[in-house]
Amino acid sequence: MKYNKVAAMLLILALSFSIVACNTSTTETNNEAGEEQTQLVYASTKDIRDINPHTYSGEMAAQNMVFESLVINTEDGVEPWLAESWEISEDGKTYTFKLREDVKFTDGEIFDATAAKLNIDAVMNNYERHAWLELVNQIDYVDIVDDFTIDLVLKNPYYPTLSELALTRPFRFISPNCFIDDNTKNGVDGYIGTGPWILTEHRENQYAIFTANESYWGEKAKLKEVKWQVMPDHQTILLALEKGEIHLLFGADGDMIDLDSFKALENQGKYVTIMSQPIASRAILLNSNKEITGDIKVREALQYAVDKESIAEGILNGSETIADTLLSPTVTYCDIDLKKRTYDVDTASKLLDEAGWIIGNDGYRYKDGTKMEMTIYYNSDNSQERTISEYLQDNFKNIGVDLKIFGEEKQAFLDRQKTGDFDLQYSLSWGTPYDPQSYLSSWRIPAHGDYQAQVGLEEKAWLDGRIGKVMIETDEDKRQEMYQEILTYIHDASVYIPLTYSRTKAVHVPSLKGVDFNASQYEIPFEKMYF
Amino acid sequence: MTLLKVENLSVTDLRNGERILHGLTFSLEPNSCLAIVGESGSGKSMTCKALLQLTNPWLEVKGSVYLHGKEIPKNNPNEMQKIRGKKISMILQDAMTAFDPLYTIGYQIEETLCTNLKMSKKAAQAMGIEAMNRMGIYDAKNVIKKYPHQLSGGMLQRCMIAIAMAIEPDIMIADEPTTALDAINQRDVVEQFELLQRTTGTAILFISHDLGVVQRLAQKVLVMKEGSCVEYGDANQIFRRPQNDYTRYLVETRMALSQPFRKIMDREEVEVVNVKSAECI
Amino acid sequence: MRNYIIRRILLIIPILIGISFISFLLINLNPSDPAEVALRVNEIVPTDEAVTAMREELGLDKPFFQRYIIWLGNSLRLDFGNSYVNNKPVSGEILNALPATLYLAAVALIMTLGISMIAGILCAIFEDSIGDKITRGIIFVATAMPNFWVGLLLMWLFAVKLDLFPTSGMRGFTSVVLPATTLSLSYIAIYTRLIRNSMIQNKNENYILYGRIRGLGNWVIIKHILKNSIQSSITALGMSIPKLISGTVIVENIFAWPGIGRLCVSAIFNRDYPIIQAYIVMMATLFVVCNLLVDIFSAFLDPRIRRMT
Repeated sequence: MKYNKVAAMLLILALSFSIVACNTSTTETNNEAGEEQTQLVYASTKDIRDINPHTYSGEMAAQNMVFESLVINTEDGVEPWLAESWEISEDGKTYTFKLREDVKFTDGEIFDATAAKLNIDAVMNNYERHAWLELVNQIDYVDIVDDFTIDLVLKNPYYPTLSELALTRPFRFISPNCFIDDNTKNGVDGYIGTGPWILTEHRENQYAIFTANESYWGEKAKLKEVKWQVMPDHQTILLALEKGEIHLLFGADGDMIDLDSFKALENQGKYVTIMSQPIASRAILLNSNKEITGDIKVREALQYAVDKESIAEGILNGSETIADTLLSPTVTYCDIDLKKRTYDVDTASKLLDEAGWIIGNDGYRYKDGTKMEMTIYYNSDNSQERTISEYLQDNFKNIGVDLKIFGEEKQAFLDRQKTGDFDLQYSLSWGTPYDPQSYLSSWRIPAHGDYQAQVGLEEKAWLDGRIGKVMIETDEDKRQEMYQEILTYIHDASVYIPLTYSRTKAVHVPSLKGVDFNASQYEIPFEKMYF
Repeated sequence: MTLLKVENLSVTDLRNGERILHGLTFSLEPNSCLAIVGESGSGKSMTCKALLQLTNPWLEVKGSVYLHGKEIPKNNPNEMQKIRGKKISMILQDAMTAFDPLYTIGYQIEETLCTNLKMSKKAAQAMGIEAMNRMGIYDAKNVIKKYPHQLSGGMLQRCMIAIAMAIEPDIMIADEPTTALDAINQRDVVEQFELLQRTTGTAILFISHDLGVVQRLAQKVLVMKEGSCVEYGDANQIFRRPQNDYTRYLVETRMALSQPFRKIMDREEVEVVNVKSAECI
Repeated sequence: MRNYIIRRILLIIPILIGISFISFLLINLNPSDPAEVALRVNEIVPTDEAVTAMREELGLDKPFFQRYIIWLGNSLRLDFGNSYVNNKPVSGEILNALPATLYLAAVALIMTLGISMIAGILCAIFEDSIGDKITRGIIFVATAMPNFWVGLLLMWLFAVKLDLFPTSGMRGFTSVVLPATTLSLSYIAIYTRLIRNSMIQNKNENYILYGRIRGLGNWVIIKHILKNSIQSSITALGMSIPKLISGTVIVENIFAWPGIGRLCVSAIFNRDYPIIQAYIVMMATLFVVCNLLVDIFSAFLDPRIRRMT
C-alpha cells in the first residue's frame, strides 16, 4: 500500500537523523567511582563565544584561562606576572618592564618584547573600542629596549596603569601568529595564549574543553581538563548539579544562581557554598537630568526613604552588608567620612515638603498639579532586581511617591542606560580591581548610565575634569584629597542610593577543593582547583 | 428443514430499560421469500441487525436464532463473522454511503469475495466482473476502478446485489432496497431479486414498507408495529383478508399509494421484452 | 492530480514573495536605526561619524525598494548578510544550528505519530472502557501543563532521581528522549483525541456497518476506519511540523539543546537583525511549503478531494 512507502521514508529520515546526531555526540569522560577525577565540569548560562583577548565578545572567565597579563591584581595590590619586575620613571610617565624569559605561547612562539609590543599596539589600533578604559587614552607608545625589556610611555603620570594592565581585558597577550592582517581588532586566527589552559575543543552553544597547559611557565593546573558546559536555564543547572553532571557553579550578580537557590543549597548541606568578600556596590541610580529627580532635595529625601535593613535581610537573605556609601570604605581611597543617611521616613517627608511636594488626598504628593511619579527600570531576567524594585515601590509609597516598576529584557535595559531615558535604574559597580579608578573614569563616558544620570548636575563638567585629574596625580596625599572631593560631591548630590555590597558566590561538590575567588569577580581560578 | 428459525427475539435498551423488540418469532424456508413490513420505526431494521448481531453495544439481544437447525451462539464473534457475508448476506437501504469512500468499488468487491470465498485476488476480480455483468452493469471493467462518489445510487445498489449474488449466501436480507430509488430502478432491483431466487435458491428476507413490491416477491409476510409482531402468515391471505386492524389499515392506505407503481409495472411488462415477468398477482 | 500539484506550486511563488516583502518591511519599521544598533551591539559608542560609516557599510543609505531587491536577490542565493554580533555569515549560523532542531523535531514528530495513533486507536476500539477514561483524563491534564514545567519535571524524575538520561545537552541518543517527550506531550494529547474522536465517528458510519455485514474481519474493519480517520488528522499533523521546528525555543533553552530556537531568541535579545530576518523568512517559507505538502498528501489520500481539483 502507498502507506508503506511513506512510512518507510519517514523511518529512513528518522534513522539518518539519529546517525547524524550520534556522530555529533561528545567525548564523554566517564568517571567511575574510585577513578581519579581529573575533569571539572563547570556550568554557565552562556557560551564562551569569541575569546579574542583584545575584544569584548567572549566570556571573561574563559579569556582569563588562556591569556595572561604583565601583572596581576591581588588583595595586596599589584604583583609581577609575565613581567618579573618594573621601574617607574621619576615623572611617572615611563614604565620599564623586565619580562620573564621562560614564557612561551602554546604554539611554541617565545613571549618576548616584540610579542608584547605587537599585542599592545594591536590593542591601541582599536582605540575607540577601548575608550572606556582610561589607560588606553593615556598610552603614548611602546618601545623595545631589548629582547625582554619594554618601555611603556604614557602621556601623563597615570597612577592606575599597573592595575589596569592586569585587567582581564584588553591588555593580555595572544601569540602574534594569530593576528589577522597584523591586527586583532577584526578577529584572530586561533586562541594561543600563555596561560595555564589551552582551548582544545569548542562546540558552539554546547560546550568548550580547556586542557591543562603542560608546558606552563608557572604553577601548573592540578586538573587535566575543564569542561565549560552551556546550560541556558538556571533550573537545569541546579538539576544537573544534583545529578552530578556538573561540579561547580560560580557567579557574580544573579547571573548563574539566584539567592533563594543559593540559600536552599546552603541549607541542604550536600554542597559547599562559599561567598567572597564584598566586591562591588549595588546602588540605585537617580537621574539628575529628569524633571522630578533633577531636584537635589528630592534625591536627598529618597535617600532616607529606603529601608535597606529589610532589603539586606529579607531579599538578600543577609548575605550582603548594607552600604551607606557608594563605594565601600575597604576600597582604596574610599575610606572617607561621609554623612550616613539611615532609614528615616520623617526626614524624607520633611525634605519633600520643603521641596514643594505636598501630600494630596490619595496619599501621593503633588506640586503645581503634577503628581509625584517616577519609573524604575530593571532587568526582567533578574528576579532579585524585581523584588527589590517592588520593595522600593512600597518604601516610596510611604512618603507619597508613586514609583512605577518596569522590567525589560536585558538589551532594552542596557539601551536605556545609554540614552538616559530613565528616572531610576539599577547600578552595579564593576568591583575591585576596577573600583574606584576605572569605575569613576567611566562616569565621563556618555554611553554609560552613570554619565547620563549625572549629566544634570550643576558641577558635572567640574566633576569630569576632577576625575581626569585624579588619574594623573602623582602625589599620593593629593590623590586621596581629590578622591575625597569627588566622592563627597557625588554623595551630597545624592545621585546614588547605595544599597549593599555584593559578593560573588560559588557552589560546588564537596570533593572539589581549592575553590577560591580572584580579585576580580569576573575571573574564575580554575587552575587552583582539584579533586 | 427450516432454513432459519427465529424464536422470541427481543431487544432491550440497557440504558433506560426500554423494550425495542418484543419476542418475535418467525421462520424462513429455503427458496422462499419472507417480507417484513411495517411503518418506519416499527423495528424492521433492528430485527435484521439483531439477527446479524450488529446491534449497538448498549442493546441486549435475547432469544434464539437457528440456522440450518443449529443455534447461532451469542457470545462467539468469530463464529458470527463467518456466518455474516457467507451464509447470511444483507443489502442496505442507502447504497451511496454503504461503501468506503476512500477505496475503489473494485477493491471493496475483491475484499468481500476474498474474505468469504477464500480465493485469489485475480479470481475475485474476475468473479466480481462477471457478477456485475449479470446485474446488467456491462461496463464493469471501468466501473471497478471508480470510487463510490463517482457512481449513482442505483449503480451502487446493483453492485451490492452483485456482491451478494456472487457469494450465493443461504439467506439474503434486503433492507428496503427500493426505498431510496426511483421507479425505474426499483423495478430493476425487484427483478434482480426474482432472478436471484430462481437461479441460486437463496431465501430472501425482504424488508419494506412498500406493499406493492412485497406483494410481488413474498410468500410469507410478517407485519410489525412498534416492535411487536402484529400478524404473521401467508402473503396472499394477509393482503386479501387481513385479520388484524392495523394490517388492514396498512394494506388499504398503502395499496392506494402503490397503485401508480402497479400501473407502470403492468405497462412496462407489456412493452419490454427482455424483462422476465414474474407471477402476476 | 499532476495539474493540481503544478498549480499549487505556482501559487506558492507570489505567497513567498509577499512573505519576504512583509518581513523585510516589518524589520525596517523598527524605530531604532539598524546602523546604531549594529554599533551598540558591539559596544561601540555610536558617534555620528561611526553611525554614518556603518550605514554605508550596511547599505542603508539606499532607498527602500532598492534595498529590498538587493536583499531579495541575496536571499535567493541564501546570502542573508552577516550577524551583527560576531560578523559571521547568517546562513552559516543558521545552518549550524538547524540540524539540532530538525533532529529534535523529527524525534518528537515520530513519538507523537506513534503514540497518538496507538492511543487513539485503542481508545476508539475500547470506547468508554476504564482504559479509555483514564487515557482521556491523562490527555486533559497533559494539555494543561506548560512546556517548561513538564520539561523540568521530567528532567528531575528521569534524569536526576532515576538517573536514566542526561539532564541536558545534545549528546548521543539518550539525550534526545526527554526534550522530545516534553515537546511532543501537548501534540500527543491533541492528536490522540483527534484520532479517537474521528475513529469513533467513523465507526458508526454506514459503510462500516456494511463492511461487517459483508463479513470483513476485525482488522480489516479497523483498517477502513483508520484510513478515514487519518484524513482529518493529517492536515493538523502536517501543520504541526513547522510548529515543532519553530516552537522549540523553550525546550531548547531548558535542555541546553543547540538549535535555531535558541539562536533566534539570543538574536532577538541582541537585536541581531540579519539573523532575525533570515529566521522569519525561513519559518514563513517552511509553513507555506508544509501547507502545500499537506494539501497534496491529503488529495493523494482522499479521492474525493482529488476529484474536486
